[in-house]
Amino acid sequence: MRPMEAGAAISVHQLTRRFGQSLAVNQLSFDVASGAICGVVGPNGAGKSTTFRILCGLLRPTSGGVTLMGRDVVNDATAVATCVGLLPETPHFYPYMNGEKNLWALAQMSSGRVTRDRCTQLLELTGLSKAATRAVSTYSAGMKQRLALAAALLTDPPILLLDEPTAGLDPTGALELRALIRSLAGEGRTVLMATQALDEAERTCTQLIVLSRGELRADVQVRDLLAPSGLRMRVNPVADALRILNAIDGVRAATVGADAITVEHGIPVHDLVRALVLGGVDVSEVTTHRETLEHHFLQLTAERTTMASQA
Amino acid sequence: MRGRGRPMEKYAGIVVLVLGTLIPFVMLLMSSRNAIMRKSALETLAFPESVRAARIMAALVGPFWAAALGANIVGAEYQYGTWPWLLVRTSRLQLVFAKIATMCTRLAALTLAGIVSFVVMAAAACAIAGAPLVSTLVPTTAELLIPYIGVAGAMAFAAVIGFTITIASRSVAFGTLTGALAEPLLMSIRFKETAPWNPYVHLQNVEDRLLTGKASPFLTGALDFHMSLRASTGVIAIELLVLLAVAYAVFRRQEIVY
Repeated sequence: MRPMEAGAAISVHQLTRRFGQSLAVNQLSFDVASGAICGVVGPNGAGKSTTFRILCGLLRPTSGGVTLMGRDVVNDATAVATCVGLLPETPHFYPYMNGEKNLWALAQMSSGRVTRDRCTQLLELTGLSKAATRAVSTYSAGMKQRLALAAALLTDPPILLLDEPTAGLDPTGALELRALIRSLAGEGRTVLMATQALDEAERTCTQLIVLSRGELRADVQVRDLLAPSGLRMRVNPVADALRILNAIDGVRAATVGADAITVEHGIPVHDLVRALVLGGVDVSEVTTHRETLEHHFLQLTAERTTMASQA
Repeated sequence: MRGRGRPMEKYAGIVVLVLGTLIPFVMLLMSSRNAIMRKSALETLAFPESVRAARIMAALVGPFWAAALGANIVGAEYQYGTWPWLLVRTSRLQLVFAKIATMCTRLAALTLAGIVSFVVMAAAACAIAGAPLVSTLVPTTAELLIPYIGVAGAMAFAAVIGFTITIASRSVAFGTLTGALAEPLLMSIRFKETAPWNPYVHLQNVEDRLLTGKASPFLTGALDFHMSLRASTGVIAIELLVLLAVAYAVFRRQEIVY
């Protein structure tokens, strides 16, 4: 078993879960540092929800383990109750109660004392104060999602597990919820968030776990993944520019359009431009170039598909 | 910490209160054409005979709604999909304890409410009919209350069977049906061979021994049953605890996802 990374709030080691013959999660290992917002992305059937269900103690792993704030989820019955606030993919409430009563009912079932004031505070935080006395059955999907977030925050847990938190929300609702998640992480909470929306992961997360077919494809910091990977230049003539740049050690240039090239380089930009100008190439535009998260994601999951088909 | 109320409890409460309220007047109306029957009805409705009559009613309908309550107290969480919310908040043992405590409280409160409403309405019916409010037959407190042990026991078994079967099957309907059918089934299989474990034999034994200090001729003669009061109480307690332990063991292993 891999030792838990120092300061990791969530540590998953060699996690495997089978459903009969089907392998939902296979030898999955990752750590999430305290205070991080970690996105779990992957195509449908990648094992995101299974991983979340194991993390919050609803499913038992076939093998491997999970520790939350250093406590074993499988063997410590109160670890989840103490450490985790869960926002499920589809939150269900008691339909005959209003929002406030639902929250209070869950507060009473929570281990640890939760006061009425805390419920009121959370309804305000999630913008549900005015709708608090309405029956939950009349709530929109966004309101239910916000009520679920309020429920997740009842015991002020250090870890938030958010399974597709913005699914079904309109753009404004999603934007507000993302801002709320960022502010919650800003208070020192660790957030693990499953999502299908790559732009959401890009905007919200600091760490990214990419899953495909139950296996870990990447565990990266978003800032590293999205760091500028090269330059995009508008040049004339393109052929001369490619010849000059590819002749320099540590530089790789390629055409991306009639008058544009991309350049991966290990030398200062002004040296590249000087070399081109001295070689008689007209340089009209230089911009930094970075790949989108979508590009990385497709590459990672495509690699997996290729490997699987080769196997 | 406590479990939550459900509409089921509300409806069960309404049914109990309506029955308790209406039956004294129905008894009066049904006996209105026959003087002997009317006299008998009014004697039954006079206090404290009305307490005994309320017990007979509770014995008839109590196990059925006890099964419904026992099944629903856990089954509603499966139906509404709210278990995951609770499972991530507290341990499963605490949840089962909370559910059992809620079930017992609700059963006791509703039964008491039904009995009180029946007794009050019986007195009102006597007053309307111009009959004495107090019966000439005055049973002792023990004679009035000890038979309630049998009712409470039958209801406890129905509720616990409903509770356990619902957890195992995740179906309120199946749990309610099984809990409700347990009593007639166990009553019909009271043979010599089954008597040592049949809860209804033990409940009858407890009731008889508390009232008369000895087992009834039916138990000793027909069933060759000779257990002491303490032994019968022990068997009943063990059976209830085993059923609840089974419920917990099944619940603990159950994978319930959102």
